Amino acid sequence: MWYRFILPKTWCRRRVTGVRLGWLLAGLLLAGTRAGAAEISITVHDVSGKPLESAVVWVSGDHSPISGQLPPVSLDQRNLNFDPGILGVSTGTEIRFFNSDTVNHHVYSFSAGELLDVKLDAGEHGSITHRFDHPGVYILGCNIHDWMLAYIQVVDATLLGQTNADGVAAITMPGAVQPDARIHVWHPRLNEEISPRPVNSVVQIKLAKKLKPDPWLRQPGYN
Amino acid sequence: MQRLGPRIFVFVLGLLLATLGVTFFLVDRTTYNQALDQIHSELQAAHGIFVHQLESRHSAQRQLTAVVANDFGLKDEIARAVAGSDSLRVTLDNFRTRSGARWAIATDNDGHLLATTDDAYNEGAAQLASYTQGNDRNDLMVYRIGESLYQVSFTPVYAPRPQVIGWLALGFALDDALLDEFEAETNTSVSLVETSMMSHRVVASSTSKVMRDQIALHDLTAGFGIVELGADQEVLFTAKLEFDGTVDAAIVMQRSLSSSMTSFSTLRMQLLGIISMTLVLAAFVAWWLARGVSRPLELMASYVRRLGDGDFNASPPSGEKGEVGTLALAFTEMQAGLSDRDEKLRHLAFHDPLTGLANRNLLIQTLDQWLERGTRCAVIALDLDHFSDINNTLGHDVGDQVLAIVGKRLLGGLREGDLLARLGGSQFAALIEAESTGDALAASNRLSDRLADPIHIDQIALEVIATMGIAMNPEHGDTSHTLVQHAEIASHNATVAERESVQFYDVHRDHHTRQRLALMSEIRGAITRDEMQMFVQPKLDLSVNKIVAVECLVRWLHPVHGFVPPAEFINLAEQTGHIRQLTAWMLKTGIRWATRWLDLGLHIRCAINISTVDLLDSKFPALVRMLLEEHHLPPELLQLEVTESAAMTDPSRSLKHLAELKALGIGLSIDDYGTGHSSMAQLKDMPVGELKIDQAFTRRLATSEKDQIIVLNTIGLAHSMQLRVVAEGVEDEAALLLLRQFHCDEVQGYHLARPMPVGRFEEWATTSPYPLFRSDKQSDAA
Repeated sequence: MWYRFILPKTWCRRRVTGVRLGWLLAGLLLAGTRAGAAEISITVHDVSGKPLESAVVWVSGDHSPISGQLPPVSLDQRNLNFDPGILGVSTGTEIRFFNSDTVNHHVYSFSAGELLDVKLDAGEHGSITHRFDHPGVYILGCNIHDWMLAYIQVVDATLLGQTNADGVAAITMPGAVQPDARIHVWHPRLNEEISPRPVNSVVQIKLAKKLKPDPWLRQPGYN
Repeated sequence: MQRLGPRIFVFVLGLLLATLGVTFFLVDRTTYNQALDQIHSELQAAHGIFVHQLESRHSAQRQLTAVVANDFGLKDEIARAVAGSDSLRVTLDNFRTRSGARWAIATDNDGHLLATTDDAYNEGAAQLASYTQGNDRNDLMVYRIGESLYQVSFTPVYAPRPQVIGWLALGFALDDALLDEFEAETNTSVSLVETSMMSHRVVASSTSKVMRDQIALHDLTAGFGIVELGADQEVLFTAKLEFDGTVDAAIVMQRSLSSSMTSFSTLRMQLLGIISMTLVLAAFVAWWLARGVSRPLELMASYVRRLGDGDFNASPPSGEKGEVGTLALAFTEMQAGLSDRDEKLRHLAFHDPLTGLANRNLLIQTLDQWLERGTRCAVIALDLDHFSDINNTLGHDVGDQVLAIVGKRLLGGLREGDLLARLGGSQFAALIEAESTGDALAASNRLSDRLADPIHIDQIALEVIATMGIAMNPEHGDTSHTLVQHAEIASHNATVAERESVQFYDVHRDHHTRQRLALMSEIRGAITRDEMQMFVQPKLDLSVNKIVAVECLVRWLHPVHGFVPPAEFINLAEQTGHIRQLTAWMLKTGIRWATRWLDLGLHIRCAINISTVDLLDSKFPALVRMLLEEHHLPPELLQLEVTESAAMTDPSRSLKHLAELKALGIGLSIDDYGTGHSSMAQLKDMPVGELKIDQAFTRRLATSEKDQIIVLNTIGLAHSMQLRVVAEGVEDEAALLLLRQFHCDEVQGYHLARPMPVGRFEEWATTSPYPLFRSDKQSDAA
């Protein structure tokens, strides 16, 4: 399931033109996975109507049990940056650190009282992991490369996804939708509190305020 | 400053001095202002540099702070820090040291102080912490903590960016060291002053303590100012320090004016040097100019002065052109005129216009020259007798002609080298060289010879007779004035002396000596002061060989001059009229003594000399009578002696008075017989009973046969005319014997007795070989 976290991003970067093709492929994949399950679609647009990519979307109030151990999620260091830059995971998820760069990295985070201090030699390949047992937003940086930045939203929910380049996130609801289930959206650039929404098959969210500046723009000019 | 030369000199020099002074003043002011402007612009520039330096520092400090804030260790400490954490403090201190900051503080994201490097800053730091929020700016930030100002840079601590987990602040001191460094670089002193309405406080400065105090007192409104610091002037430039912070502060840039003026002072010195040299040169030029004007004028002045002094040989300053030359020419012409006039004046001054002879001035001048040379000479004063008669009868024209002719003739009687002068009126004087009185007499004879022939004017033949007086040098005087004066006196006496037309000067006949003039005034007083004494000389009657009479003589014992010879003052007394008092005194005294002697039984006759004045005085006989009656003296005991010349002055009056005296019964005698012009023919009518033969005949009687003949015959003649004869000047026994033989009646002289004070007569009589004639024996004789 971890690829879902990776693919859209990959697409976003590499196939900028094939929006419609992505949609088709995603629909085929989702449809083939679980038959009978309801799939909801959440679309996020910013104040100017542009789609907001990589927003973390999750459903609270879903009491469906977590089947088995949560699959680990990968966080790569590529082109002197975190990849992906925004990650949404469920509480207790283990993050595996990769280093695809030819330089060493030193990942740290002081967020939410949880100290992360990981040195990643060049070519590190998932041997170093860290499990996030507490919900919250974790901001990761590299002690060596100041511009490197990653947000990890750890939520007490298993139903979660992230918007793609079109601002659309799809979550497959496993069963009947609980009445108090709500849809949450989070993005580091959000400048406003977005109130949780009741679960519907199609949820359209339009931001009322302008986004915060892009924190990644400070990346130096070399790769 | 009346003289032209100095005035030109001062004017030229003064003008130049004023010009140069103004120039120097302007240059000095300009350079000063320029120096000041330069300082101003330099100060402004320095201020710009300083502000820029502060900003650069700030920028660097911010970066430094950012670097520090990125340190993982620090982030780690901050992330984990709890307030008052020692670990964070030590870490901060470490970074403070590394960055060269004075202090460092860290806060959490909410502005709560986490740690500071020094507890001393806690209070300030807490205050600062509140500023941290949103202060991640580039602006200069200056804060005061305690007494010091700090340049502060805040930076957020990212973990990672944009997550801010806290703030870091580094404080860099704005202290003396910093400013000193600045001064070393820019040569401009700088001070940081905390300003307030009330007072200023110098926080940091690169200047001295004294200067700091001055600055604190200075009006720190923005702009330029000057502070006097001892002899130096400090130029200040004040500007507000623009920054984000808690205090008002000013930057004071400062530079010494004098040190900035140093380059100008060289210029000043050069200018002064040029001015001095110019002045010295100008002084020379001005002196030369002034001299060019004044020197010819001075030469002219001294030339004219010499002319004024009568130096007509003075030559005008030569080589002068222009006005001075013209002036010199005019003076030369004037000189010629003056010289001519002077010659005439000189001639007039030294010559007599009538005769063309020398005048008294030239005579005196020439005589002075002769005396100076030591030439033995004589002055012959010559006067024409009765010349006034010619003037009165024939007129002054004739008189003048006579004088002119006389002058010419006299000139012919002189030798070469002699000088003839006309002294005035009919008086002439000749100055001749004369070794002896003989020479002088010869010259006077030559002169009188020249006048022997009558002078013919308008067919009138005029006889002129001259009287001459001679004064010899040195016998009769050693100065020109006395010689001429004495010659004139002598000539005057010659006029008086009959048949003696030439006289040498005789001091005794000079009635004009100063002593005589003084005595004249004292004679009257001398009588009342008892300075006059009566002396008597006895007379011996040869028939009875007894002393029968005394001649009374007056002596004057002057308190100052001592004994004054009668010859000295009798003449004077006659001239002044005092002789009357004198004669009266003599009469009174003589009569008193004769009376006394008579009371003693002595029959002594008193003979008293009377003068012409007495004789001509009509009251005199009455005076004699009154005195005789007063003392009850028999008149035959009084005898009056009269000289021939006195009797002959006014014969008719004299005879009348003599007759009156004779009638009183007193004896009268003719004194000094033989010396005057008297003759028996004249004496025969005179009522006198006695004749006194002058001592001139008796003094050498024993040896001179001629005198013996004269005396013998005179006695005989006198006896034949019933006159008694008294011989004066009997000085020896031989003369006495002869006179006895000649039947002389009485004798008198040194052989018998010298004149003696009348008081000693009685005493003398006791020692005399001849007894006194007594009255009791008178009857016997009679």
